Formats: sequence, structure tokens, C-alpha cells
Amino acid sequence: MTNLHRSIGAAAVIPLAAVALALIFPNQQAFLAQIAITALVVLSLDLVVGFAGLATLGHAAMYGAGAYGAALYALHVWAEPLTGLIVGGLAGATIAFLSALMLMRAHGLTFLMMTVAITQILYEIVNKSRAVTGGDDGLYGIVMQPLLGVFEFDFYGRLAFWYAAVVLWLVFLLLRHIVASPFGLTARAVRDDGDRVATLGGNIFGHRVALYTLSGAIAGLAGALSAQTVQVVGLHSLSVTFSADILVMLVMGGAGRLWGGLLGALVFMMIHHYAAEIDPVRWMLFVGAILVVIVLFLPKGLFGGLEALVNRLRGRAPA
Amino acid sequence: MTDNIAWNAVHAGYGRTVAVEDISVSVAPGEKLGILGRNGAGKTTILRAMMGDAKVHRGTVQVGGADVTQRPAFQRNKLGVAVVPQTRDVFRSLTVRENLLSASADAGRLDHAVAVFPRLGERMRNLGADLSGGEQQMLSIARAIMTAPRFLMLDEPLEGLSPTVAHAVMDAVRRMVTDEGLGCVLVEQHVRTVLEFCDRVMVIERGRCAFLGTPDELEAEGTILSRAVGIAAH
Repeated sequence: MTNLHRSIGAAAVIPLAAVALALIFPNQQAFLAQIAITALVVLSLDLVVGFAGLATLGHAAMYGAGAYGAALYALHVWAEPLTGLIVGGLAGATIAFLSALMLMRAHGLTFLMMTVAITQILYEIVNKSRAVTGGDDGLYGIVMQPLLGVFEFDFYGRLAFWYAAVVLWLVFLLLRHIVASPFGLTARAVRDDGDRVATLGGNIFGHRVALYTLSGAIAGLAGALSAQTVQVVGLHSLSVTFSADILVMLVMGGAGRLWGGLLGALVFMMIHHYAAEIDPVRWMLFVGAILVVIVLFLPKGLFGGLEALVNRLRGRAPA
Repeated sequence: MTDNIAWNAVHAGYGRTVAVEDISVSVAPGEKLGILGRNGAGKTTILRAMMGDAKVHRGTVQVGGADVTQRPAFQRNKLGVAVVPQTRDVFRSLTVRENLLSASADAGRLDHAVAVFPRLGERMRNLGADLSGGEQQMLSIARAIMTAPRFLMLDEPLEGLSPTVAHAVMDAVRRMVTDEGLGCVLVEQHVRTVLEFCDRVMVIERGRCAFLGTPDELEAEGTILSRAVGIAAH
């Protein structure tokens, strides 16, 4: 199979999966939209954790910034979805850029703690700015104009799903291109040995700031999509708990592989959905148990496990 | 002189520790300087001071006439200095091709690197982690030359290599240095290789320069090699 065939095949997977999911779950498209949005934010996290090797619990800061940015824009400026999406992306990118200027001077545990601190600071700022953000009540009453002036958002989440799926697909294609580009290679090289990249002419600080900002823009897009489709924005979108959830999804799916992020989000959200129906209080127990099994037996996540299985069936050594 | 790289009365080390003292030497484009000395004498520290990986306590390091003592490593590389570390440090999770492209996306440089080390051309899709020691060394050198340096610093490139592979690596380095007019600094334990390859030799003894001159002068001097390196030149 040539690289072109592989690229076309990979590009077709998300639209085909979206069609299949819409057919299998015709009455749960609002939930499917949430999966697509969550997958988007997990992809953005994968850039930082999987490709750059920076462990963070602060991605909610960018997601929340995107959500609040898009919500405020819709409520006070213009309720047009696509410009709102751009505003959300810019809000996420701005928070990411400003925090990266501090974060990228830190390493290891210090970096991790700083990501938590920045998220907590943002959370408290939004919580205390009740007049603008609604405080712990959040923002609601967001009514979006039709998408492209034609497609109305509906109560069942049909448009929300296709809107989120298309954005996810486009971002996925963009990220596939980016991770294979010299920029993406440098990110992985820095993860392996940053000092060596510096002696080869790579500006590690500048590169990490750029990567974090890109990741923040994508997380902001996801936040904006959530604000526009759910029409409510709450403090949870800025919480460290949410950051931890998406990190769990990434580890579950397999960090450092874009497919892993998608698969992790899908599996986590499905488990969440069905386990919460069985036991609304202790559903995290299911997730925890599954995560332990994955970490112990599939260190490269579900996608890594699938890949190993396919390679085994084809009689090839794992990559 | 302005095209040279130079160490000017450099005292360098790690943290508060000074590993080398009062090192002064410059290398011109096309010139080959060898650095000899026992393990721990400070040879690697001299290279690391040039790349900013060791702290320069006193003195300056210059590239092309510019004082780069306080500049970050990537700027020194942009000015034309590349280093091949003793530990090779190939990016283990990247393929050979990706290792090379991570240093430069220039397709012409990629072709050139593969022309210098044809073996790498056969291993382009293999991960860095899957290469043999000799192949990793070739990749490390090839990756350094992807940045189109004017000066190449090699830290014990033959360590752990079989004589055949070591010969192939040195042949490639020799061709590259000669054909492209690169300035070269070679830190190496194989005394005979240094004496045959280099135009000038610096011997480091306990962090200080014990000798700086031509290989012929060093061999004629007689005692320094056995004292500072621990073996005879033969």
C-alpha cells in the first residue's frame, strides 16, 4: 500500500466512523457530538503530552478559555458559529501562549505543578468575575445563529454532531500533516533529547512555546464547539478534574499517536455513558479498573495494542 | 582569523567545578585539530564549552569572530558549529530519515548525508533505537552535517566500533572534511588515528594544555604522549 493510499484511507476513517456512529446511535447525536468535541481536546493534549513529552494537568485552561470566549462572543457580539469558533481558538491560543512563556522554563514536576496552578488561577478568576462569567452558575442562554446562515442547531444535536465531526476531521488532517512535518519531527526529537536538538540548531524554548500555543488553539476550538452546541458553559470546563479526565483518555487510547487520542476519547466517553447508567455514583470505578488493565498490559494504550495485534496477524514485528 | 572558531583563555566546567583551565586554541576552516588526553583530562569539556553545554567560568569562545560565550546552543549551531557527542544521542523513537530531517528539512542535505554514509540509505525506515553502534555513529555524524556546519567537532567517534566500521567512519569523515573544507576538532583515544588525520594536536593533562603543535612535533617531543595519554604513539 503506498503512502498516498494510506493517507486517503486514514482521511476517510473519521467521516466513515461518523456515518456509522450516526446510524448505530440515531437518537444520541448530542452525545456523539460530545464525543467528537472531547476527541478534539484529547488530540490537542496529545500534541503536548504524546509528541512533546510534556506531562500536563492544565489543558482545561485552554479548553475553558475557548468555551468562555466563544460564549461571551455569542452572547454580546455576534452569535455566528464560525467566527465564534475562531474566537474560541484564539482565546485558547492566547492563554496557551502566555502561560507557555512561563511554563517552558520549567521541567518535570515543576512544570506539572505550574500547569495545575495556572488552571486553578484561571478557574478562580472566572469564578470571582460573576458579572461577566456568571461565576459558579456559568453562562447560559447561548442561542447560536444557523451555521453558514442555513443549518439550524436542533434540540436533538444532529447539526451539533456533524459540525463537531467536520471540525474534528479537519483538525485531525491538519495535525497528521504537522506531526510528519519538520516541526513535528523536532517536537518528537526534543522529547527524546532536547539538549541534542539545541546543538543541532533547534530553539527548544521557541519550539515548545509554538507547539503549546497550537495545542491551546485546538483546545480552544473544542471549548468553543462545546459552548455553541451545549449552549451552556460552566466552571467544570476550567477544572483540573477535566484536565485529568482528558489525560486518562489519552493514556487509555495511546499517547503519541493521533489515532490513540481519538480511540481513547471514544472508549472513555462510551464507558462513562453506559457505566453511569448502571451506577451513576461509582462509574469512575469502571474507568479506573479498565485504566489499570490498560496500563499494565497495553503500555502503548488501546491503539498500540490494536496495532500490535494487526502486526502479529500480518506476521510483522511491532514498530 | 574571523572565520575561525576559538577558545580564548577558557576556564570551563560544571557548576562550580572547573574541569579545564586556560585553554587557548583556534581552528580555521579546513584545518583539523586533534585533542588527546587521558580519561577525565577535560577533552570533552573543551567541546562542550564551545557548544554551551559546559559553563565557561573565565575566557571566551568565539565562532567566526563573534563572542558566543553567553549565547544558547542553537545560535552557535546556526553560526556553523556542529558537534557529534560521544554518546551519539540518536533520537531513538525516530526513524533514520526522521532523525536526519529533524536537523534540517533540506532535501539536498539529506541526499548529501546519505551519499557520505550509503549504509544509512539502506536503513532509512529503521528506528534510531534499532541501529547498531556503528550505524548510530554514522547517523549521529550525518545528522550533524545536515545542519551544513563549517566546523565539525567529533567526540570519540570510534569508541566501541569494530576496526572495519571505525575505518569506514573515519574514511567518510576524511572525505567530508577534505571535500567541503570543514574545520574539524577530533577528540579521540586512538592516538595513531589522531596523528595521521590531524594537522595539529593538543594534549590535555589534568585540565591544562600540555602540548599544542603538529603531529611530527609531538612525536619528536617523546615524553608527553606516554605521560599525558598513557601510551606510546605506535
